[in-house]
Amino acid sequence: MSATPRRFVILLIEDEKTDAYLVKWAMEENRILADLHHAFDGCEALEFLRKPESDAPRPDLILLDLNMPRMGGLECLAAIKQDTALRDIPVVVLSTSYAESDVVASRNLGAADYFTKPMDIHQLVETIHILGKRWITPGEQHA
Amino acid sequence: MSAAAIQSVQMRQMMDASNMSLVISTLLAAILAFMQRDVIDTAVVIAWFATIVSVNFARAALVMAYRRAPADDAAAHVRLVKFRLGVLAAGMVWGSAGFLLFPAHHPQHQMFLIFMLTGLTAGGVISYSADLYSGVVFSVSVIAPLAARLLVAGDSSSLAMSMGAILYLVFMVMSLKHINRNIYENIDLRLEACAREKSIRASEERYRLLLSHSPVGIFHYDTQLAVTYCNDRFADILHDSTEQIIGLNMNLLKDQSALPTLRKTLEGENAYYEGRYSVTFDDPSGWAAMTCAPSRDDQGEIIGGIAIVQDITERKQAEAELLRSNIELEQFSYAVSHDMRQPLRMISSYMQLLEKSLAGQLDHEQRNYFNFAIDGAKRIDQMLVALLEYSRIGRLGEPPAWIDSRSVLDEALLFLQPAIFEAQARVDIAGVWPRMLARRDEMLRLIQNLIGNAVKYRVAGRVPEISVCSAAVRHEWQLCITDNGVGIAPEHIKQLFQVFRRLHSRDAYEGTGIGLALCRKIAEHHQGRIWVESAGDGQGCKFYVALPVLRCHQSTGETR
Repeated sequence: MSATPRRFVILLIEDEKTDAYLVKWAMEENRILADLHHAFDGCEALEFLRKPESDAPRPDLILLDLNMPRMGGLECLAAIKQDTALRDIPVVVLSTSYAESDVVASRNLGAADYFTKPMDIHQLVETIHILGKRWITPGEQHA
Repeated sequence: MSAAAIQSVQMRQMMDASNMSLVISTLLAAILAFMQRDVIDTAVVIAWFATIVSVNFARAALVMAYRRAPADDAAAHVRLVKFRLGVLAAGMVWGSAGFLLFPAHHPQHQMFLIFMLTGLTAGGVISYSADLYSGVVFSVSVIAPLAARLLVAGDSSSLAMSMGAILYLVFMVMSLKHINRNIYENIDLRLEACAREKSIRASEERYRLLLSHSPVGIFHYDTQLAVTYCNDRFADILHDSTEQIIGLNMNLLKDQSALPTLRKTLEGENAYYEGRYSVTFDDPSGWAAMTCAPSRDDQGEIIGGIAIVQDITERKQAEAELLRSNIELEQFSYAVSHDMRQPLRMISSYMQLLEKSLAGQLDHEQRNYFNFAIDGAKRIDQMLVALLEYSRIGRLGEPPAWIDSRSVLDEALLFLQPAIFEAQARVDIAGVWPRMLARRDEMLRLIQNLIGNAVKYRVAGRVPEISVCSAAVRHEWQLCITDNGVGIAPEHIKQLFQVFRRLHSRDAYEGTGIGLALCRKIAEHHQGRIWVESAGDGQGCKFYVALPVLRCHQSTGETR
């Protein structure tokens, strides 16, 4: 019996429901088939990540917003990279901020990539397309 | 020294000696009259004595007048003339004695008279040696009549005495001349020394005033680091009095942080210290900057040092305040960039989604409505981004560094290449492109905005011709960008560099209207200026930028 190929798992850490919806929509537009889990802030994300595999699947990619209540993105990123069990999961920052300081801080903390959320949904679709091509293995996840 | 000043001193010297000589003259006259009373007609003797006493009284009155009110240089001359007349009168009266009191047949009394008159002349010459005229007039008027009288006597011994008297007179006059020259030179030297001393005192006073009213604190110290002098400002800085500070041994200070700097000067170095200080006796502490240098004696040996101290507490407080305000502004800017753009993005994105989902049901007009709303949200977003950029000029970004202006231009042209190509614009580059001390990112933005505008604001159907010319004039970099575009009406020139000020509709030329405001702010942050010239609508324009960025030691408004 051959094992069913495991679906690509993404953890989206984003405090804004509306933004999370847009990301999900843009992924669908790009026909990216992945299990998308959603955490509303850093604390919730770490809780999810530290659950046993049986309760919460280990993500293949983390999409991280920066400005969030309780635990912000940079703090959460630092925590992930300090955790030996989690540090290998690629973290891609997806933020409204285009501030140089945020880009530099994210890279220094070990973010794999940095995308700014565009104003236009067509550009958002394009952004997620590029993100998908870079970070989600082609063929397996793209329909 | 002026002759008048010297004369004034001569006058004073003679006046000082006058009273005594008048008394002696009167006494001598009395002795002479007494001795000759038996051999000369008594009436003549009394008359002569009365005359000499009168003349002496008159001269005594002149001396008293002088003592009461010493004259200035001009009036001194008049008094000197009066004095000389007095001397002449006295000389003549004494001289008349050579005839009137000369006993033709009493050789012993003749000898006495000759003795008295020559002795008197010797005394007079010494008394009047300060003034050559007075000395000569007195000696000639006393001796000449005597010599004449002896000559008249006719006998051989009188003749010999007459010749002797004349020779004596000549010798007297020559000696007088010599003594007088010495006195003149002495007075001249003394006056010169006085003037020099006065000038040194005036210069010292100026120096003292300068030190005591200086807005910076100044103190001197010896090799043991004891304060030997300090001005009022230094005492103010230390909240103390100069009396308390002078003599203070700085080795005993509570706060010793500045001492290593002071000690350096004792090894012959100039030194600078900046830091907090605690005052000597009172206790509030502030910030001080101190420049000090060794002071040396004539042999070049270090005998201590001099320090110039500035209280920079206010500057430090202002810097801290500026830093705090910059941090606050940056936090505010960050909040704007993130928190305000987020809802705008929601408006724009969900309007787009809504439009998309209603695609089939919307007519042309309704689709336009959606687009207006979406464009509006996007435009606010662009303006927010533009405002953020504007607020960051001079505050964030790269620090000033020596950069090659030509390489900045090339980079700007590379960015603008698509627009230049699309407009089929011709760009001419001319002039000297110097190295300059400026913020590279801001210079790039400046050049890019100006050339970008020249390309953008072109006249339809006219090939854009743009000339970019650079020059280095002394410490200033000058840039001129000329185009043949839409130009600017004179009445609009003033508004051109204001934030969000647009001269054209968004339909005609897109943009936020912040480009030239950014250019102005960049120019101002480099202590420079920007201005424009245009003959009017459709006549093209010339943008000028002048920045003092070619000098080594200059500030570029670094505030970070």
